[in-house]
Amino acid sequence: MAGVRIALWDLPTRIVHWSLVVLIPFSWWSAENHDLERHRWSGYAILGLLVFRLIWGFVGSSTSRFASFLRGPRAVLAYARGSGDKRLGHNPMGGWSVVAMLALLVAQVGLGLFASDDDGLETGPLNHLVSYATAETLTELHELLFNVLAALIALHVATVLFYLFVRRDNLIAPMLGGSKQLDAEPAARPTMARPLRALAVAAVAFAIMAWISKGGPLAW
Amino acid sequence: MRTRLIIGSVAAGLASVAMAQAPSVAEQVKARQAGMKSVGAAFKGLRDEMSGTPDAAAVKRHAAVLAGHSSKVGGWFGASAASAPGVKTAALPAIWTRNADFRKAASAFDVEARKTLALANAGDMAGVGGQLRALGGTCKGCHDDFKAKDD
Repeated sequence: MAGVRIALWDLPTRIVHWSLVVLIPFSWWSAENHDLERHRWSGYAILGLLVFRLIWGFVGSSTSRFASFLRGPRAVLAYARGSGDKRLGHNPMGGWSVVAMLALLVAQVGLGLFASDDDGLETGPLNHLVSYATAETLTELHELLFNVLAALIALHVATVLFYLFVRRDNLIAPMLGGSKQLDAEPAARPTMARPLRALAVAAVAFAIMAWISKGGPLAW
Repeated sequence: MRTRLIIGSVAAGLASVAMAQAPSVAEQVKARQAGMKSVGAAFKGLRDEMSGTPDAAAVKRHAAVLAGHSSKVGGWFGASAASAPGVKTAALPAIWTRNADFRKAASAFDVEARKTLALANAGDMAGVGGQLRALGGTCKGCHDDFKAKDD
């Protein structure tokens, strides 16, 4: 059996991905059950993951960098027509889908920071920075935006299943194990970032998350 | 003639008083929603003060708004507003079907709001801070059973 096995997704990117798979449904579930304390903790965790992923998009492994997978409209159209180049990592359409989901998540977590429950007992950590009426509006948007996020996630899952069953390309296994089996050596293998760099970025992300969870700008 | 005029104007006066006393259900809903919003804003005001170094004057002001409204809550949901066809309201029918329970929950809020105001007037900021959970708990205590959830 010919072919090579290459490292495709680094461990931090996979941890972020699968953590979101667990935390997003958990956030929804805890909110539905009015368990807003757990909802807040889940939100903090997602916030930390998002900050990490955004920084990692600039300094992480080649396949995790925005610059490597965000392509212009021509590349996206070419890929949609089936004639695009076969690069490793996110394809030109998938790259934008990733960014769209990340942007929605940032907006969703951002709104949640200012949100308040009906009784004013449970609030996001930045609720004190806005008026009661503003918080009410942002809370409603927080509830509405989840539907958009859920729709985009549904599209993402449907697309992955389409690749699995129709294109016979298993995208799930590399996202789990990190490596992908190729028929031949690629022109260039993805370059993986060092674990130490991931730890440094994680420390920064954690600090930013902790700062916001304590009430942000002036609370310290 | 004169008597009839007096009777007539008295009757007209009484009618207008009666009308003033019986606002439409839509008006009642609007008024109590505005009241609830100022309650929510005042409670948030208290909480925001307690999250930093509290300004005693602001705490007093918010506590006064709360205690000013807290005795009215029962009246906001009078029998005449039990049915509100075509009016958007989160008030659940349980308010009127279990009215004694509702009034008990509403007066629990009144009790805690007055306690809060007494502490605020005494300048006991730590006391107000310690009171917030109990006070907010009475909002929840009523909302849980008598207010519709958005979801």
